[in-house]
Amino acid sequence: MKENLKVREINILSDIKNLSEVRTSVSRFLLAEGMDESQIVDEVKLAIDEALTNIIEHAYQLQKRKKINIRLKFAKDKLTVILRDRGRSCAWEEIPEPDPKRYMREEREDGWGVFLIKKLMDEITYRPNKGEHNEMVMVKYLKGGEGR
Amino acid sequence: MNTLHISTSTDEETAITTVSLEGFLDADTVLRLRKVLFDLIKEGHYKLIIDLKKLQYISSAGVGVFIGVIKRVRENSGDIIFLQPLPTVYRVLDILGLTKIFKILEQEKEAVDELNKI
Repeated sequence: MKENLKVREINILSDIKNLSEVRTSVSRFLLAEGMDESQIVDEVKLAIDEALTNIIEHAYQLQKRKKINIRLKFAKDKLTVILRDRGRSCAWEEIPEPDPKRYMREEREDGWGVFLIKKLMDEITYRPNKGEHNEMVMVKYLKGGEGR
Repeated sequence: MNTLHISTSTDEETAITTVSLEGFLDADTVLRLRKVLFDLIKEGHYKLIIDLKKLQYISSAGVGVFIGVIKRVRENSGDIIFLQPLPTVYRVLDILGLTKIFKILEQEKEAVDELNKI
């Protein structure tokens, strides 16, 4: 039987100034789907913010006019977020866990985003150069669903 | 639009500067905070209280800026103390391990006392 999914879509240009608008839209979509548990809304919003920041800063190297597609698929037991870009792909699995003490010594500010996404979401799949784009799929299981 | 308001005040007697943040700290708004922190450090302000009680949101970009400056601050007999983070902000600091690196306090007087001990 085919699962009945509701899909919401957001398309933005790769300008860091668009992060706030995406967070607002994601909150609105989640609340409209009855996800009123504030911790889940906060976690999904932050994971999307972190993933978009990575795309803008690393995949698109801060170019502001590149396209990013975000889709949110709502099912009874889980939320799936799919982000697509056409920038440089990254070796997602090779990104090390952040080392706060080393970062302090090196006065390094970045390097936290992937770790934070992994902590906030239940499943993450990154497919570099899938077709014409990179695709990141993030899954959050909802109460009563698998993995909870 | 999720904005960030930043205000600073320095107590001349204790040389402690309080940086109050209100709103949303992300990869966009952190650029202004970064400039404020760098300017304070350049001017010799190394005892900093970051008042988080009105900060509603923080992403890892916002966290990173404090990691980037803490070495310089501590090398100059200073420190950064976070004051009254909301639970959502505290959770991000905790996940990223900053609760082990920075003191997080609930009372301004405690923060002032801590910085005066240095």
